[in-house]
Amino acid sequence: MAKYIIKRIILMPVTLLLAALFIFMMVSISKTDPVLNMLPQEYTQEQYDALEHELGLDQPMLVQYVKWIGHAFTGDFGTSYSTRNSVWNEIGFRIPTSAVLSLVTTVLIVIIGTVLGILCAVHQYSWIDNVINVFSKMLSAIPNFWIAMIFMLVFAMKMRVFPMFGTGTVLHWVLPVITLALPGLAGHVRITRSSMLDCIRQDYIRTARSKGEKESVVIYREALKNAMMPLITMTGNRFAMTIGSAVVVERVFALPGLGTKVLDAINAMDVPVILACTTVLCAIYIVVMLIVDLAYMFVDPRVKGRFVKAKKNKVAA
Amino acid sequence: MKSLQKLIVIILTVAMLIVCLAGTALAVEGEPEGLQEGTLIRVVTGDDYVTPVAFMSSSNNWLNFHIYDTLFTYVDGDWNNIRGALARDWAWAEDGMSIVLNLVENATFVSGRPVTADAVKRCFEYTAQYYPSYFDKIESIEATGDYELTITFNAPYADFTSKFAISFMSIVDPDALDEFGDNSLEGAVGSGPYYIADYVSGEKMVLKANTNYWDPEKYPHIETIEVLAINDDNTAMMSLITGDIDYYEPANLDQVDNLEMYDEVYVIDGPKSNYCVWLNGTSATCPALADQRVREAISHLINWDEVNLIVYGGDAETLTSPWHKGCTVDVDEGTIYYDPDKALALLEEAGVKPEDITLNTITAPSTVKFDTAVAGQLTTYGINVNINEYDIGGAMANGAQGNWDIWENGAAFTQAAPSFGFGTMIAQSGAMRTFMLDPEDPAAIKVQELYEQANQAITIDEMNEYYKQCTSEIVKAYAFIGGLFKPNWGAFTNRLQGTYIENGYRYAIFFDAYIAE
Repeated sequence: MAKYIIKRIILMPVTLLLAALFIFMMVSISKTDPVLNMLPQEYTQEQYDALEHELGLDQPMLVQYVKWIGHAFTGDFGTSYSTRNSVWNEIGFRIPTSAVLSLVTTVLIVIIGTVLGILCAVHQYSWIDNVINVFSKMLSAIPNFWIAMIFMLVFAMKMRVFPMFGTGTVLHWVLPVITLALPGLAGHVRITRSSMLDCIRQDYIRTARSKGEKESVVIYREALKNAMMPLITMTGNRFAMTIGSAVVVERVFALPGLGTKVLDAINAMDVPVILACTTVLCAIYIVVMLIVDLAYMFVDPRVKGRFVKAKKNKVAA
Repeated sequence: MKSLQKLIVIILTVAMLIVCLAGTALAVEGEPEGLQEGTLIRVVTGDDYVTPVAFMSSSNNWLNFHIYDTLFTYVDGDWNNIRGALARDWAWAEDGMSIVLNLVENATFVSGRPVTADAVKRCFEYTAQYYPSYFDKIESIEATGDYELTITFNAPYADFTSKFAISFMSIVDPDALDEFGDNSLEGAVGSGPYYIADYVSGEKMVLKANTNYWDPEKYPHIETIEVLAINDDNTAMMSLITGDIDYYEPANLDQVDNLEMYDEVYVIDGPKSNYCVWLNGTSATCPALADQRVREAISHLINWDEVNLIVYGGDAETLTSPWHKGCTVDVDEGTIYYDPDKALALLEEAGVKPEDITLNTITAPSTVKFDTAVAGQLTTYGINVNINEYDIGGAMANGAQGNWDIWENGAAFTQAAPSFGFGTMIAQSGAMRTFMLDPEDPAAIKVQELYEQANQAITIDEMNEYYKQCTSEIVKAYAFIGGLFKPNWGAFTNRLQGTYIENGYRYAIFFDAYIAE
């Protein structure tokens, strides 16, 4: 098992390198010239050439990429074209905001979504199932920027219960997290429901019931445990989707996160910031996916068995 | 009779005293004296993004106004009306080839170092690297005393005081620049009414009042100004209504209408600015534009009243030159008007069908609606218009490279000094080149000659006269084909009083702002 984890950890930088190369290529083929963005309104060709050379943009793309990677490994992500500030100073303090927002939202989705999904499955076709289903479909159809505006209008502007923007207190996080969670929640409820229904119909559940097991034990120990696999897979994907959707929520609630920064950086063609932000986002995503993969082993004995078996075979040989 | 006169005099004197005392009492009640504790929150949205790096760009004008001083300053945004700022007074040589400036002696940078003639000279060594054309005519800058600066020119520089009143000619502490570099945040040390106390990129900037500020005209009233980056317009507007922020610049008429429904805010219809539309006579993608008749025809196909109605609800004014009405160098040649019949006849004469013309525009997000309205006018008559939207940087970059057939660009013409606008319009390098005609074209040659003569003028009046002729030729060549003088709004919470929008750059200025009790 340790070998598997080490192997995955070793693969992480390779994935990051490939992701960074892809982003580097995308940025390089765009038409905007960052040198022109940085020069004052009047400039000479000499100034243009000097700045282009200073930024290393006169070199081939691959050379620029290799240099960037070399510096990034030492923790130096370069200097922002827009603000002339160190890129790490620009984005470092934003990482917790994005990470907390996405993690809290994902946890909220998983907990509430799983509970509601189980309720729907256990009470299939009842009024509870119908009501949750209707709301799920409604929520998944509403874009989160619209939800954000309505929440803001009602809870921040009219009722003044929550602050409009910023991150000073816990209250500041309530509206962004709920806004981000609602559309995801709808999807998670439906997947939990269908996964639970699949398990509930299995023979082993019938056997458990016939053996006189309590209904709560049947549902939570037997059915839920087996329904967890697709839910764990979905949790990883949900986290990725949450990070993506967070851009809109960060913008609307003026949260200083990576999403807002990367959008600003794209607008300004601030390449070092684009690269650093996307690399950090990729890294967060890769770590979460590693955790998801490890979670498989704890939930599904077959996955764990595969590694143990492989180890035993090796010892026997 | 005499006693009656005495009585009248006494009554009038007493009445005047009462009025004066009442006025003073009212002033004290509304406008507090000295520095007022509290925070004014200004919001920044979208592209209106500030960074404290010294000399960064003209997009920092608002910040420059608040943290730096210039040698001179415009009175009400008028480049013909200059008053001294750091330069207390000045004297020109008779031949106009040198100027001696006497600086105020009580100005200090927030670092505590005095603003001396030597400091100004050293600061300009940095500034010249960023804005070389402003220094082309300067032979030497000498500190001839602690507070006396002598500037010698290699050619007449009639608009020197106008040009050096522009906000990016601000004086920055040269020792801070030497120590931290001109590309650093720490190097942004000025002598202005506020200084940067905190900065978090893309999130906020906190300005604190400079309590040792020397200029009573710009002395700050509010202790702290917090500039927040809220990129979403709806969030910004709602925050203004709830009083979470104090100032916001509405971008369009819809936003103004929405905000005016609330008693908690008031909207100022501030000074207008130009939206000028240009045609590229050197376009590779639309060679038909090289023909002056085609350019003239296109100019007659745009109904500006209708564009005004669509975009600004009729609140803008129609331009007849790149300069606004009342501007010293504005000329109305009577050539910009809507006449589709004449336009179609001109196109026929030039042997060009409207449907054969395809125009590519470059537009920034803030001008999409305007460009769409203009394109709508042209497509009515069969001309094809592709609107290519870029971010501001992309629009400017493509503009400078001449990758356009039709372009809305009025930025330079809202600046105070006309030479700035002409420079960017005509100069063959620069980020906002708009006058695009074949250099062999007689109109282009004439404009270039007049521009050179304006640059050699000894007095401002003489310079303005050449600039007027320059304007006239540009309009007659149909490179500029019309535009609008659009309104700029500022929305404030009721608690904030005493604000105004500066005429030259159209930014809200907070020196005189105070928080009403």
